[in-house]
Amino acid sequence: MVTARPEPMTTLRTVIVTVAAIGGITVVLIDGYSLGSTAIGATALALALAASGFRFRRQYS
Amino acid sequence: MPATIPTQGPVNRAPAAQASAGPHQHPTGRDPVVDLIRAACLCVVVVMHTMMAGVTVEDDGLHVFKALQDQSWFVPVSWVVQVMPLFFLAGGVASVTQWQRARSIGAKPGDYVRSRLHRLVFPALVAFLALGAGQCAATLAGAPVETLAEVGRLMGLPLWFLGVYLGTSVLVPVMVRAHEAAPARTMLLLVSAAAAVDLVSATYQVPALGFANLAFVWLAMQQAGFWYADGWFQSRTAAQLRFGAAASIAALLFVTVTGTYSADMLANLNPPNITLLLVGAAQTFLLAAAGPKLRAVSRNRYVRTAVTAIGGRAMTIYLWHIPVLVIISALGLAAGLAWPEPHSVLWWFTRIFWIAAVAAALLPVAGWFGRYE
Repeated sequence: MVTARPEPMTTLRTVIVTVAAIGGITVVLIDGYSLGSTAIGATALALALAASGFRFRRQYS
Repeated sequence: MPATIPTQGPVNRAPAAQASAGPHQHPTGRDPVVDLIRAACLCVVVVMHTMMAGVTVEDDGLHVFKALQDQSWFVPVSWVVQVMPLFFLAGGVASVTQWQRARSIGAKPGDYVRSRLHRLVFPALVAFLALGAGQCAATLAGAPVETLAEVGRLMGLPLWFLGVYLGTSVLVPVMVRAHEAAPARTMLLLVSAAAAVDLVSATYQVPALGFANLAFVWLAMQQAGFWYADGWFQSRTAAQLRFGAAASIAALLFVTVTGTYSADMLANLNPPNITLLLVGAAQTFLLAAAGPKLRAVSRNRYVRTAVTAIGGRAMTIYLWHIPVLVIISALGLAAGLAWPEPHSVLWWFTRIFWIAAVAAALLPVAGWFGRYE
């Protein structure tokens, strides 16, 4: 079976996903688990994970 | 193809580390004493947060406060229960070991960062989604907006650690390289930067500047973890370790008694300052001094089982213990249970049951959400 190879983590990609992840966490830290901040935080984390090559099935199946 | 970051297996140490590493490393590359300490620290954090929880219901709604705050007797206790430096020390030990092993089989820094992101961020995303859904359901059910806002704020408080830990973890390849090139200079630079931030923020009355120490203080403790992994602390004599701990505590006494810093080590956490490095130094010297005894404790079958169980669910426990605490409180209040007057005899008497209730409720939560670690 051929599995998709994750994109290499260049320095720029590393910086972007790290900033997105820490930013998403910080939004919820500052504003608490309100509906708006949780939605923004979760979106930022999801984007950071996706951009870093995270694949749920590969990780947990 | 990017290398896979191993989590187990033998360690290939850098030459500098090989020279000083003692017989402390477990064959799997993990130090059981560090695992024990990390699990114990997590328990301390959960118990302290549980003890801190204070709730009153007034005519104008729910009021939440820190039950142990402003208690004079708690100040010396805070010197013992301030375990965050140990968390970053343990993180440093684990991460340098993991990164050096991965690097030895061809992993690139990006591969390491990716593995840390996945390890730390996905459990957080699951928590965000679950708690967001909970907030949504509570809003639709007609829960008071102010109460939900307060509950949401409380549940988000532990996230500071996740953000900082993620930041320090991502920097591991860079910080390990600096450590291998010039260990003393790297540590000195970080400690000096932390002291400079304290000085400037106090001199110019800019408290917000202190948050720069979220990087310098915790990266310095991470460096201490690198030194620990190298075996530097363990290769000191018992007398040297005792002296190091005593000197750190003496320095801490000096800066707090003279009023330069607060003597409350929980107050010193936000933003962090140089006192936490002194606490961390004392803890590290004491940890190295107690290493042989702790190693014997870690070999106990029951202790090992508990450490493995807690370590395997550490992120989940950390992310979920306050939400669990808040939900139990809310359920108790909704059921009409009276909250004892803080610091009363009844309050102290019921703390053990309160801690047991939170621990019992955390078990299924850790079991369920822990699958995403």
